[in-house]
Amino acid sequence: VNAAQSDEDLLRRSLDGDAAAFGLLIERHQDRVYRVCLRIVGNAEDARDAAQDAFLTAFRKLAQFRGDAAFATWLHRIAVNSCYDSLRRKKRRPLLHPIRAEDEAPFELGPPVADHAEEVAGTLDVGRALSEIREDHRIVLVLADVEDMAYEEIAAILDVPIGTVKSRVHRGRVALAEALGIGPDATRSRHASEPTTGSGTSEEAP
Amino acid sequence: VTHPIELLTSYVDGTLKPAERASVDRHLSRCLTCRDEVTLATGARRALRSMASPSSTPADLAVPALAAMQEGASSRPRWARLLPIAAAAAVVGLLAISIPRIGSDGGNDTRAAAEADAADASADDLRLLATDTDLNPESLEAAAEAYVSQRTASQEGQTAEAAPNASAAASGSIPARSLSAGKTAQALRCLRSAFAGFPGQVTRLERVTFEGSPAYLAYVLEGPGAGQPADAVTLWVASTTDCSILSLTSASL
Repeated sequence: VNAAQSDEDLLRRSLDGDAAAFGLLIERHQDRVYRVCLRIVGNAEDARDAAQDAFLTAFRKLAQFRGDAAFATWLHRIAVNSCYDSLRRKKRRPLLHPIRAEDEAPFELGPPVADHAEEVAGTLDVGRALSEIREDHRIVLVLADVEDMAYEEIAAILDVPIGTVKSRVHRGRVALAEALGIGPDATRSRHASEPTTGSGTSEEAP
Repeated sequence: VTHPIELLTSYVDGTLKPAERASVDRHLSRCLTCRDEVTLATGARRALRSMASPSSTPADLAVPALAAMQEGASSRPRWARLLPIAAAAAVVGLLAISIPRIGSDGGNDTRAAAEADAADASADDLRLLATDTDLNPESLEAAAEAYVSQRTASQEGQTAEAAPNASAAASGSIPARSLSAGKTAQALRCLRSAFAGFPGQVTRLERVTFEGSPAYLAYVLEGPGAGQPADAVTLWVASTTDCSILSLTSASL
């Protein structure tokens, strides 16, 4: 495997029918795509489906990729849409249908390693809190704070202004902290949600 | 007073320039709301950054994409040539015919394959539905009739929208959830290999059981071609395990 090959090289070869090149391209990005999907949709089964769908969609749209964004950005945009799709389908699932055990076990992380038991327990809490906040907040937090992507890149992935990304990150963090039950008195009023201009309420004199 | 939300994000990140940081500090000294939020956001940021990575990535994430790439690139041209034969067979009424599988040599045009594959799946509209319907030859015919009368009713404006799945309606069981695009593509591939031509427009795709065996059921609209509207619906049933033909029925629209 030639690590020096750029995504763009592999992309060109994929378009010429080189399945090995396309496989390599997927392999290069699949860990992150899967992690993002896992944090957004909240369980391993749906994350696997969403990631598979993302790569299938990427294949179908390969010829439309214009190269005006990085391939990774383009791919993550597809992946985020695929996760939205998964969340939407889940909401539509009729209640008549029996809930399967896997639906009740969110945030599967595989067998916990003994040394990291505490970290895993913390992850379970954060994972559950993530599932309780708004989807648009959850998505920016996963990209910004879990995956440590730059706000510019997140803005490109979501196709929104960078200011919108930043304000979603802040509001998402506040909502997540409240879902986790950390921090100061949660009953105090918070800044209204978007648009970003604050209301000016609850200002206090020094 | 306006709360500097976007600056608060960078403040918590620790990426503000000294002058900006000082101005946010001044605001915080007067604004209890923002002060609380900075505390909360800092805690949340720390919690998110300490999340453990999943232990592993599933090994089969590339499978549907690579299968679509390989299958689409190899079989399309011959497949297209068999369309008229399969369409004719469907119109005659036929049951349990067996068309040999098409060989898999041929062109290597990934662009065309990707586009054809996308067209097969009708973009995002068509989804494989998981149902708990068990069909047999009689109820399959009933499902075809139910589809025809439902379609007639909706065309006459009696029903705003067709029910989620006609076979479920025919057998009285509950309709169910739609599955992922990957599973939908897998079902289409399976049906196509079972039925060679697999012509026409797939309007509905279900995962059912047929006399107890897990099966895919496709509703395919077929017409005389040349841009004429569809005049028949064919229900194709193939085993999910080996994609072999289980049954087939059709009805005139």
